[in-house]
Amino acid sequence: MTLKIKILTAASALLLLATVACKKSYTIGGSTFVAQVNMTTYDYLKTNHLFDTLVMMIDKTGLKDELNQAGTFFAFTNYSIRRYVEAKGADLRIKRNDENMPYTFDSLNLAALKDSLRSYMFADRFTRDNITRNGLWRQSRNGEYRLMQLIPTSDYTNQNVFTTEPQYIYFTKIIALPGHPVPPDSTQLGSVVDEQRLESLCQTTGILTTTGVLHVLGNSHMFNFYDDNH
Amino acid sequence: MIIHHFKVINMQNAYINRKLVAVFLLVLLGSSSCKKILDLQPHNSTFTDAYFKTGQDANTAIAGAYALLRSVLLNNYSWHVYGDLPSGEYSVNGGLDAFNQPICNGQFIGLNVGPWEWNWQNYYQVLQQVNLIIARVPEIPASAFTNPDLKNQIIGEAYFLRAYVYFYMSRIWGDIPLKLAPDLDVSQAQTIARSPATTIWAQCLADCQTAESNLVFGYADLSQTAVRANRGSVLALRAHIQAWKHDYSACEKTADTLIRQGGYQLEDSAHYAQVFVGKSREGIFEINVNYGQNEGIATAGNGGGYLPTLARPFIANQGSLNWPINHDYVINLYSDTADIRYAKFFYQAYTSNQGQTIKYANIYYADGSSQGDPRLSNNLNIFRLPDIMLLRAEALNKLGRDGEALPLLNAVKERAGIADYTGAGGTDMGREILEERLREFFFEGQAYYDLIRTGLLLDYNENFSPDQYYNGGWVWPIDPSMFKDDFTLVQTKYWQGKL
Repeated sequence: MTLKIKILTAASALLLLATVACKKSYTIGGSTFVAQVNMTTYDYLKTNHLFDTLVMMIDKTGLKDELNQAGTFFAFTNYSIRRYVEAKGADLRIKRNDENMPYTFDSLNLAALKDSLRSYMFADRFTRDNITRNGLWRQSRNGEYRLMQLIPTSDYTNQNVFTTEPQYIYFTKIIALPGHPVPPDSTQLGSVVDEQRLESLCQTTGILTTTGVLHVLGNSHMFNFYDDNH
Repeated sequence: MIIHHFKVINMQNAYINRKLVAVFLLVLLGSSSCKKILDLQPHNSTFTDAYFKTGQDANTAIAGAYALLRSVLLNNYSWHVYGDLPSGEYSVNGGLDAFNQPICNGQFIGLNVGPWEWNWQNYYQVLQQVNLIIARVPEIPASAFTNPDLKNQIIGEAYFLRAYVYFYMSRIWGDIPLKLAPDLDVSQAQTIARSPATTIWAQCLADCQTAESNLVFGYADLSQTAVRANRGSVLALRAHIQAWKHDYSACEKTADTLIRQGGYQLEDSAHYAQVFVGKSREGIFEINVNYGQNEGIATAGNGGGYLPTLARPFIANQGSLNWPINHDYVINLYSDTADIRYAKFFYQAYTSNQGQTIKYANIYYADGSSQGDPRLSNNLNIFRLPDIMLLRAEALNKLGRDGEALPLLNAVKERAGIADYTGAGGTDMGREILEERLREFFFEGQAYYDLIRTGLLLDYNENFSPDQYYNGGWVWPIDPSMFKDDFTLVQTKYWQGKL
């Protein structure tokens, strides 16, 4: 008797598995993955609360159209702006010798930060297909150059199992140090030393909006690479 | 039927045959083993009388002792785990390094903090080797050495290493078993109870005395600079032991002799990197880690090394950072942003959770084409000149001689490009000297001991439990698995019943 029940249970479990397993194979999160979103870059940023401070900055600086004209935009999250506000505040408190000086997002001079925002925008489209390991050294919309690199990583992988390593996109500002200038063009990249590179890892890459490509910088990025410029 | 019968006979035959072969083989073995093909003296053992006959033997043995010391200090990254993590310098990322993250909060026990941090057996391997040298090298005639001074040097180095290892252990575990003779026969190895730390320090100071009389300042062979002990290394150790005992008047005198007679000088801050590569003019004692000698620290494959404070761009292909600096600790400590050390020791320190420590970032790639298999080529600094200068300043301050302490403190500050100290004397100055140490020796395995010695740990690591600190829990518990080999061992008082 018990044996019969056991067999019956096993058989029904198998049957259940078979029917369930047949449904919707190869789907992630309810639909197949698509990189395209049917919105402009600006509208897409508005849909995600991680970017609401960024959207506010873009609104107040009137850069919405420039953002949608950009082929590539490296978006940064609320965390990056918060870090910037805190660091800037701490710096001013020391400089003005007033340890109680309030400094919040409202205190930012947004007009002066317009060009800083432009340094995250690029005219051309840069995706995983055309970014290289050595990197593209490209002029952003504010005239400064930024380095974009696609770099293999050994994080979370086992070299004996993975024949090809996964790759991260890095967004890098190169600063001048004594004896080491900022390279005028990509041929001089070889003489850059590690200490000059202020790298930021992208947490999400290759979102294709109707107006361009969107990469999202990691939450540990600080807006404008502020105060890492040593 | 007939066939069946035949089969049985055949099986029996096979059985007999096997027996015969076995007997035959045994006979063969018996006859051939009479031919004395075995060497009675093992070729590579240091434990028989065959060894320790020549100066070369002694030199190889001391090199082996240094190699063992290197391996215990690097093993499980213990030099930094014991010396740096509990001070609060780091905010280890628990998602990437769950084993070391609790240690930042002073949690020396728990789910992820393991017996490998509680176990001292590897240290006794170093001590066994050193005790063997101390027991046997004096019996080698001086004429067996290429240079008669070498015999004294090796004996002196062995005493130094013994004192260093015991002192190092006593700062980690407090009371430890004291063993001064080698075990020549495993079957007669003795079980030894833990001696009080004060007894250990007295022995360490006696060993330093012997080491000092056998060693000289400077190096005849420059390739041995700092990576082999000399009289300077001994004095640095002695000053540290005396400071740890709070015998500040003795510490001040030892440090003074070293500073005056040692021949060391501060490197210019333009060459800071050389201090951490090693063998600089201020290096007093270092552990050799050199890629050029094929002895870099490898992390890939079975290299076993660990470089958790570095990621891109300092190690290609390393996207994640296991040990980011503790942002608040660093920002508070290096409040003067003109500090050259802030720029040279850290990378993206202000980006609050991803600051890298780049003091030790001299990386070579064994697989050059794909920048794979990174190898670190930085010596491990154990003692260097500013350490002793600030230690002397600390001693003078405690003795109420602030006027003499000030130039030492300011010399270190000036090298780092920051303003001289202008504050008050006494406790204020004492704190400034401590903070100067914390700034200068960040990630050099010193901070925790400095904070314990000065009694200010809780001011700098707010996560460390006051109950644990005040009740002797700042020393590590010992591994219960060692009790089965040595039934005389008892757990440290604070940790009894907690493991």
